[in-house]
Amino acid sequence: MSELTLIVGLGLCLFSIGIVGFVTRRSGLIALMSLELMLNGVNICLVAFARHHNSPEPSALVMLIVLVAAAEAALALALFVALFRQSGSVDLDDYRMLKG
Amino acid sequence: MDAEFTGATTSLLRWIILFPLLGAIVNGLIVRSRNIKIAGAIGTLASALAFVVSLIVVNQYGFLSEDLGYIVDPWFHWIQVGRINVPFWLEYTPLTGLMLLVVTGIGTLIHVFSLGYMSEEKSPYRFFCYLNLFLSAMLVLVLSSNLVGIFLGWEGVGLCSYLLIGFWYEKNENTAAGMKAFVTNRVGDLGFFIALFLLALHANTFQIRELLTYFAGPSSQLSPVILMCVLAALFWASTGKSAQLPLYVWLPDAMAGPTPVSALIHAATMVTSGIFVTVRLWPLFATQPEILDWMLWVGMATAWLAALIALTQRDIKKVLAYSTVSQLGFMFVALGVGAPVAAFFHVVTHAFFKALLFLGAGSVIHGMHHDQDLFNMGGLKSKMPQTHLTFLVGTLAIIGFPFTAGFFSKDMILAKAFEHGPLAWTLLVLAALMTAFYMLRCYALAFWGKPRSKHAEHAHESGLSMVIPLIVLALGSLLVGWMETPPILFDIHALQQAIEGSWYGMSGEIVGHSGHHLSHATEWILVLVTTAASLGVAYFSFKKFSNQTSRDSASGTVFEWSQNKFYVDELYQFLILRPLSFVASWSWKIVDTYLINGFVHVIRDGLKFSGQLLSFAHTGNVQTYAWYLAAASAASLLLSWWVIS
Amino acid sequence: MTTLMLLLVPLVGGIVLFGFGCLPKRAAQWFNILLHFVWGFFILKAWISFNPEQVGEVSWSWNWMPSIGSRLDLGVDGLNLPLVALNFILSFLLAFYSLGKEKLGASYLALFSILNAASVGSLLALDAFAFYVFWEFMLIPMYFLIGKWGSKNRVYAALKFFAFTMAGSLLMLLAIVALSSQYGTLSWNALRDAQIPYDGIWGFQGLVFLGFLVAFAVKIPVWPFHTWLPDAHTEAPTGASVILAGVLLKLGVYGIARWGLGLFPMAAQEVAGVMMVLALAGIVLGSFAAWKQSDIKRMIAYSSVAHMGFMVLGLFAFNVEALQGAMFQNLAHGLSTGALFLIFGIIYDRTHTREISQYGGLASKNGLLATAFVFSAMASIGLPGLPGFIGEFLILSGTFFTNKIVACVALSGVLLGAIYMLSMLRRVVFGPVGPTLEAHEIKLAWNEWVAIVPLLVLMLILGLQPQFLFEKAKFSVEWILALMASGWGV
Repeated sequence: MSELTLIVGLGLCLFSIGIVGFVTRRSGLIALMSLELMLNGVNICLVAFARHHNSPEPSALVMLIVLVAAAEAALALALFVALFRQSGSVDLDDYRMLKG
Repeated sequence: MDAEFTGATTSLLRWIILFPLLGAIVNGLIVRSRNIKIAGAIGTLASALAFVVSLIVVNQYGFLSEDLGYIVDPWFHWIQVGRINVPFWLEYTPLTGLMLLVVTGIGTLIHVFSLGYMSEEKSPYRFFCYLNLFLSAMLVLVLSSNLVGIFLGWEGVGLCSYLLIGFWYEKNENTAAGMKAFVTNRVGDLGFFIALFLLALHANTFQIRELLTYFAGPSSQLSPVILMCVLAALFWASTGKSAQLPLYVWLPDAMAGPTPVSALIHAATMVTSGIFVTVRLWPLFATQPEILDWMLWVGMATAWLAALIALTQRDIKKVLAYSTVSQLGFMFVALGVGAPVAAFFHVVTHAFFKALLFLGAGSVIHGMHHDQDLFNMGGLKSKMPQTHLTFLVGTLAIIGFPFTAGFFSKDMILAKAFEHGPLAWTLLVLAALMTAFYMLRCYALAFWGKPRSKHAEHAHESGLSMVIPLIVLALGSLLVGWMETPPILFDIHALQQAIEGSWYGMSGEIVGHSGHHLSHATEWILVLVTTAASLGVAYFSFKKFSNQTSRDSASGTVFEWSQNKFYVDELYQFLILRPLSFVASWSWKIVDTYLINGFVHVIRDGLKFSGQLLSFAHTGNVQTYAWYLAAASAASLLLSWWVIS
Repeated sequence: MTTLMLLLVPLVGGIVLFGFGCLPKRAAQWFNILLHFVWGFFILKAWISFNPEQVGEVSWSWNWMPSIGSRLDLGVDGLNLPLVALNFILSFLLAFYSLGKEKLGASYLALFSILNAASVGSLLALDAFAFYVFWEFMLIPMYFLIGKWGSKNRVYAALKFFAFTMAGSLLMLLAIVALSSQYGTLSWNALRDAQIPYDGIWGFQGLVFLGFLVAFAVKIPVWPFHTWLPDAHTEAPTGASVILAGVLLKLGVYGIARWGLGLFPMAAQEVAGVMMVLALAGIVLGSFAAWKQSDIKRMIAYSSVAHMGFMVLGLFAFNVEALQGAMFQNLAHGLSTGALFLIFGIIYDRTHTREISQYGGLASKNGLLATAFVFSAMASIGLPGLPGFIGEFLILSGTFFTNKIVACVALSGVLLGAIYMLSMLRRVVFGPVGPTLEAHEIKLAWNEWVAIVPLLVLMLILGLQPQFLFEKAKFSVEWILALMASGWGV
C-alpha cells in the first residue's frame, strides 16, 4: 500500500470514529469532541494530499480549518455552558424545544 | 323595416299610458297621503284623464274605417341588437280603441268605487298607486305595436296583480295568493318567451302589423310548423294569463285581494289579455285550425270545470271568480270555433257585467262588514235596494236574459258554436245552464229570504261613490250589447266591422273552413230554445234558494268534491310542487354541501394530514439531524459515483 | 393619460387613506368621497371622449418587463369601459353608505380603494402579465376585507375565497408563461395578430385557453367551482359583498370575452358545449339552492350563481345578440344584486341577523325601503322595463339561435327565479312583523338613501333606454365575433 493510502486511511478512521461518536454519544461534550475528531480526520487527509501532490493549497486549507475549528469549539462550549445553566444537563436528548 | 309604413303618426297615444303612470308616481312616491280623498282624487283623476284621451283618440280616428291600422305613436326605440329589433311604438286600431275605452272607462269607475270601498284603509296612497300602475301596464299591453311591448305590459300587469292581491300583506295567505298568481303566470310566460324566440329566429320581426301582413294568409313566408309552434306557445301563455286549464288555479285565490281589484283585474281587464292578443293576431291563428281545435276543447273543459265548482261555493267572491274562469272558457270556445268577433264581444260585455257583479258583491261585503259567506246573508234586497237592483241586472246579463248585453254576446257564441258542430253547441248550452243556476243561486241567497245572521240584519246601503259606478255599469250591461246583433234581430255588425278592420287588410277566414251560415229559422230555434232553458233553470234555482233559512249548504260526495274545487290545487301540490321542492332541497344538500364542499374539504384535510405526516421528521434532536446529513451525503456520493462510472 | 388616472387615483388614494388611521373616522370617510369625485371626473372624461370603434387600443404604456415581453398596457374600449363605470358607480355609492359607520374606518376604506384600483387595473390591462398581476392583486384587499370586517365565519370564508381563486389562477399563470416563451410578447393586440394556430383542444391554443378558462371559471363562478361564493358573500361586510357581486364576478365574464374568445376562438368553440351544460347546471342548481336557503345573504349569493350561469350561456352562444346580452346583463346584474346586498346590508346593520325566519313585515316597518327591496328583486328576476329582462331576453334569444334545447332548459331559470325571489319576499317583506324587525327600528339616514336611490334610478333608465350602452359596446362585440368566424389556423 502506498503512503497516501495509509495516511488517508488513518484520516478516514478518525473521521468515522468521529461520526459514530457524534451520532451515538449521549453527552453533548463528547459529541463536541467527536466533532473535533471528524475535523482532524479531514485535516490528516488533506495533509496527505498536500504531500502527495506537492501542492501548498491543501495545507493552507488545513490552517483555515484549524482556525475555524478553534473558534467553533469556543462558541459551542459557550453555548453548552448557557444551555447547562438553563436546563441543568448537557444531555443532547433533553434539548427538544424545536420538535414538530 | 318600420320606416316604410305609410300611416299617420300621433303623439297622443303615449299620454294614455303616461297619465296613470304619473298618477302612480305622484301617489306612491311624492304625496303618499293617508287621506283617501287626496290619494283617491289623484288616482281617479289620472285614470279619468286616460279615459278622456282615449275618447279623443277614438273620436279622432274612428271605429269603423277599414284602412286604418296605421295610426302609430313612434315613441322611442327600445332594443336593437342584431336580429332583435324592438321599437317601443304604440298603435291604434279600432279593436285597440274599443279595448282602450273598456279598460280606462271601467277602470275609472272602479277608482270611484274604491273611494267608498277603501275608505277605512290605512294607506290608500299605496292602493291607488298600484291601481294606476296596473292601468298603465294594461294600456301598454293594449297599445303596443309589437309583441315584446305587449310582453312588457303582460308582465307589468302580472306584477301589479301580485302587489294588489297581496295588498293586505300583513296576512300570509294574501301574499301567498299573490305569489301563486305571479308564479303561475310565469309558467305561462315561458310560452311567450318561446314564441318571441321563434319569431326572432324565423320572422325577424315582432311588429304585429308585419307579422300579419307577411305571415298570415297563403303567401306566408313562415313555415307552417314554426307558425304553429309560435301560436301554440302564445296560447300556453294565454292559458296562464286568462286562467284556463291547467293554469287557472291562481284566479280563485286572487280573491284575497280587495274587491275593486278583483273587479278590475280579475274580471274586466287583465284576464282578458289572452283573448285580446289572440284576436289581435287572429289572421295568423286562422291559418292553423289545429290550434283552434285545441283552444276549443281547453276552453270547453275550463268552462265546465269552473261552472261545476261555482255551483257549490259559499263565498260570494269565489262564485264570481269561478264564474269568470268559466266565462273566459266561453271566450276561448268562441275563438276555437273560429269566431273572434264573438269572443271579443263577450270580452266587452263580460267586462261590464262581471265588473258590475264584483262591485255589487263588494257593496254587499261592505254592508255585511266583510262577511262573504252567502249562507250568512239573506234579505238584503230591502236593506240595499240599489245594490240589489244593479246586481240583478248583472245576473240577468250573465245568464243571457233577452236584450241584455250578455244575451247578444252569448247567443253569438252559441250560434257560431252550432255552426262548428252540434256537440260543441250542446256542451256550451249545458255550461250556460249551469251558469244560470249558480248565478241565480248566488243572487237569491244574498238578496232574498230572511237575514240569516246579525250582519245581514244590520246591513245598509253603500254610499254614493259606490252606488254610482254600479248604476253606470248596469246601464252598460244593458246597452253595450247593441253594437253587434244577430241577423234575426236588427242585424247590427258594428263590432264585426271594427274588428275586421283591425287586421291590416288580412282575412280572418279560417283555412279550410267552408263558413256555412245558419238559416234564420235555425237561429230563431236556437235562440228560443237556449233562452227558454236558461230562464227555466234560473227560475228553478231562484225558487230553490230564495227562501233559504239554514246556514248549511247541501251535502253529498259529489257536492263535496265540487265545493273543494275537485282538489286540483292539492293535486298540483302533490304532483309538482312537493317533488320540486324535494328535488331542490336534495340537490342543494347533496350536491353542494356533501359532494362539492365535501370534495374541497377532503383536499384541505388531505393537505393538512400530509403536513402533519412530514412533521414527524422534525424531532428537535441534533443527533437525528446529523444522521440525516450523513445518510444524505453518503447517498449522494454513491449516486454520483454510480453516475460517473 | 386619462386612462392612467383611472388606475392611479384609487391606488394613490388608497395608500393615502392608510395614513388617515390616526385621524377621526369621519375625516377618512369624507376624504374617500372626495377621492371618488376626483376619480369620477376622470371616468366621465374617459366616457365622453370614448370612441366606440377603438378596440384594444392602448392609450398608456410602460415597458416594465422586456425580458418576458410584457408591457404595462392600459386602454379602454367597448368591453371594459362600461364595467369600469359600474365599478365606479357602486364604489361611489358605497362611499356614501359608509359615512358615519363606526366600523368602516381608514384601513377599511383604504383597502377598498386598492381593491378598486386592482379591479380597474385588470379591466384596463391589455397585456397578459399586467392582467394577471392585477387579477391576483385583487385577492389581497378582499381577503382582509372579508377576514377582518366580516361576520362569524369570516376567516374560513376569506381563506376559501383566496385559495379557490388562487388555485384557478395558477393555471392561467402557466398559460401566460407558455405564451411568453412561445411568442415573446404578451400584448393582447400582438397575440391577436399572431393568430395562434389551433390543432385540437390538447394542442397549444387549446391548453393555453383551458388555463385561462379555469381561472375565469372559478371567478365567475361556473358550476361546480362556485362553492366559495356563498361563503364569501355571506360572511363579507356589506360593501365587500356589493363589490364582489357587482364587479369581481363580472371580471370573469369580461376575461372570457377578451382573453378567451379574443385570443383563442377555436378552442372556445370546442368547449362551448361543455360550458353550456355547466351553465345550465349553474342556473338550475343555483336556483334550487337559492330557494332552500334560510340565510338571506346566502340566498342572494346563490341567485348570483344562477344569473352568472346565464352570462356563461351568452358568452358561448357566439352570436351578437347573446354576447351583447351577456355584456349588458353584466351591468344589469351588477346593479340589481348590488342593490339587494346594499339594502339588506343596511337592514343587517340594525338587526345583526340573516336568518329568514326572524324576519317578516318589513313593509310595515319602512314602506319605502320595502319598495326599494321589491324593486331590486323584480329587476333581479327579469321583469320587463328593468334591465334584467333585456339581458336575459337577449341571452336566451341568442342561445336559442344556437341551440334550442339549451335555451328552453335555461328558461326554467326564469321561472325558478320568480319562485325563490318571491318566496324570500314573502317571508321578509310581507307577512306579520317578525321578531328581529319588531325589536329594531328601521329608519334610514340620508346617506343611506343617497346610496340606494341612484341604483334604482339607473336600473329604470337602463331597462327602458339600453341602446346607448349597446352602441358603446357594439364594435368590440362584433369584432370579437368576426374573429371567431374568421376561423384562422383551422
